[in-house]
Amino acid sequence: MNDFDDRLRQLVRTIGEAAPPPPQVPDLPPPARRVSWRGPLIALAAFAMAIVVFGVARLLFSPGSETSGDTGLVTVRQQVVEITLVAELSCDQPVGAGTSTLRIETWADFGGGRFRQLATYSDGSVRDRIALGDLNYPTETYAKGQSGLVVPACGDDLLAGDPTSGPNVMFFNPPTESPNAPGYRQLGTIVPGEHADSTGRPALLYSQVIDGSGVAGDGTEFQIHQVTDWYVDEATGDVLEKTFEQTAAGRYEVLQTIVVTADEVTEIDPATLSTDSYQQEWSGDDGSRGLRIDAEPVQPSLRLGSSAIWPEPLEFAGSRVLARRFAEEVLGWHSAVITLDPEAGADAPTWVTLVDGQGYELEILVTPVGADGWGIFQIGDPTGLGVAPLGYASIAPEAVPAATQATIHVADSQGATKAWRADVAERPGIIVLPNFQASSVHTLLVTYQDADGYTVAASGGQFGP
Amino acid sequence: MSASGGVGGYLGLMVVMDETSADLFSRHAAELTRFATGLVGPSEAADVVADAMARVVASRVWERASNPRALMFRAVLFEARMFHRAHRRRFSREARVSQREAFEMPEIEPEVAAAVARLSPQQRAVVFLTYWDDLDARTVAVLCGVSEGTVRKQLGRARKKLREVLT
Repeated sequence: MNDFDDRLRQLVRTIGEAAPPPPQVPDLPPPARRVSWRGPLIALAAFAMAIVVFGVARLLFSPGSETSGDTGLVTVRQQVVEITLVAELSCDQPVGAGTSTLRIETWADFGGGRFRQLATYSDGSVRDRIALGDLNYPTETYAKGQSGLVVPACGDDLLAGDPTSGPNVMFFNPPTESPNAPGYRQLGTIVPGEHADSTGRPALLYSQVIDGSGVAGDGTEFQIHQVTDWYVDEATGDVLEKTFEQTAAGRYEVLQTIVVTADEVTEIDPATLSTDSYQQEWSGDDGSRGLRIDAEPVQPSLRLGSSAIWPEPLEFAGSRVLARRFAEEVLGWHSAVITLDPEAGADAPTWVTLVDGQGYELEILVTPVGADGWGIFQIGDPTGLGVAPLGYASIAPEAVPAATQATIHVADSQGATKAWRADVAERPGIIVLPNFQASSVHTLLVTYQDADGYTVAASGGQFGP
Repeated sequence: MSASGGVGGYLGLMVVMDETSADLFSRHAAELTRFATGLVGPSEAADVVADAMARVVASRVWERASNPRALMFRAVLFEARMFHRAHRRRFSREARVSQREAFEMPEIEPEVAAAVARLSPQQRAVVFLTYWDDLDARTVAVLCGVSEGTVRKQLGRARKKLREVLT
């Protein structure tokens, strides 16, 4: 024992002896109180469901574009977003300091499955991209031009995102801000009072504050302060403006502002969405063109959750322990490397990346549910749940190259877990769960196995009541 | 969640804690309140404990908990984290500064209080349990719901932060 320990012990004693009298035995609310915690998560699940149901329905019924018979014009939702990025960098190896602006104009033909994004950067460069299929899961993308945005960074550490990177066209509000990214409903807390966005539009203000720390190249730990604000149209629930501010004293201060300056339904010439003169950027196969695969019932190998996809009951020991258990007990990944989103708060929903020894990777969203513990609320990309003839549940499987079979676990609204197996080798298509109504699906988990029975991918989400 | 509203903030349907839960709470209320004081300071400790108990007893894990004392400690730690998060958010929105909230105790020198304020709730928890009751890392791990390695790591980090102001 040394002087420091003695002083620390005395400090703790001083604090402990200042404790107030214990509270009276409290009344407690009925279990329904938990709903207030699950609400946002259910909203997330419902949001994901809306996306995937839309996607599958489009694949099954393939509606055409809405065109005016007289003019031949296409009805689209047109959106203009102005983005400003201000970076003050005093770190070593600064990249992209100063102010950048970016204007994104998007035309979305949801019925016809055509989406165009025209990005104009402050240096005058233009990047033009057209996606076909689904906004979130395009089957083909075409592009021309180059991005002129330099994302601010300190060395290899990016301090903001490029909204025009990646395969997807940016469409700012539901149904498609991003199916994998929880938005203000899940992450933000409403700030009381009257607010307006930077253009003066009245708005509800949701805010998320995260205080964390980073480690510099020399091993020095420094504090990071992040604030995300969403200015939301009270009537529509659409985000009018989103700001992200990230500060590390003495190192950097970055502010990204995204303002939706126009969002309307209009009619355009179909040529606006033509891919002529564009280079094909990517072509994928959505794996579902008209082929039905009837799944075979099997004994469930696990029990899905009631308040989360898994586990049942929830895990109390925290996000990392839960992720480890999921990797081992559900995926069979016994040596998975587990990485928690470093930006997530200790008690906040957290994306966790699992990488097994063979290089397969999976992201899961783990979330605290009050004092019940932690649960997993999304696994991989949202699972495509749809409706087959007779109301049977159908699933648009992911295109997983190594997979020969898919194992589907479903928890129904009564909490019972059922399972099916489907052969997906060389046969992309829609998996149908015979005699099981889509409306009965409460929780869904699809795992994909290779020829050796090893799980190589998974997806899952929550749907109905 | 209200950061300081206590149980008085919950209106509408209320049920009274059953006798077993009430006995358990009464038995451990003092040490839980002391623990909460180490996490959030004396002015908020009682509310944090009350909120934590209301939350944990309403949860489904409560009735089948094999170690209800540990569960109560974890619930208080969880509630303290929520308190810090809400407090930081409010502080940030109102003051627009990035420093952490003060750990307000007149009995403690300001620089020491500032150092305590810079500890995470988990670091405060392991320091408090280690130095108040002389608990070993394994016991602290059980009470906090983390691994022994995490306890040692967090204790080491906390000691490093506090050493600057206590030596």
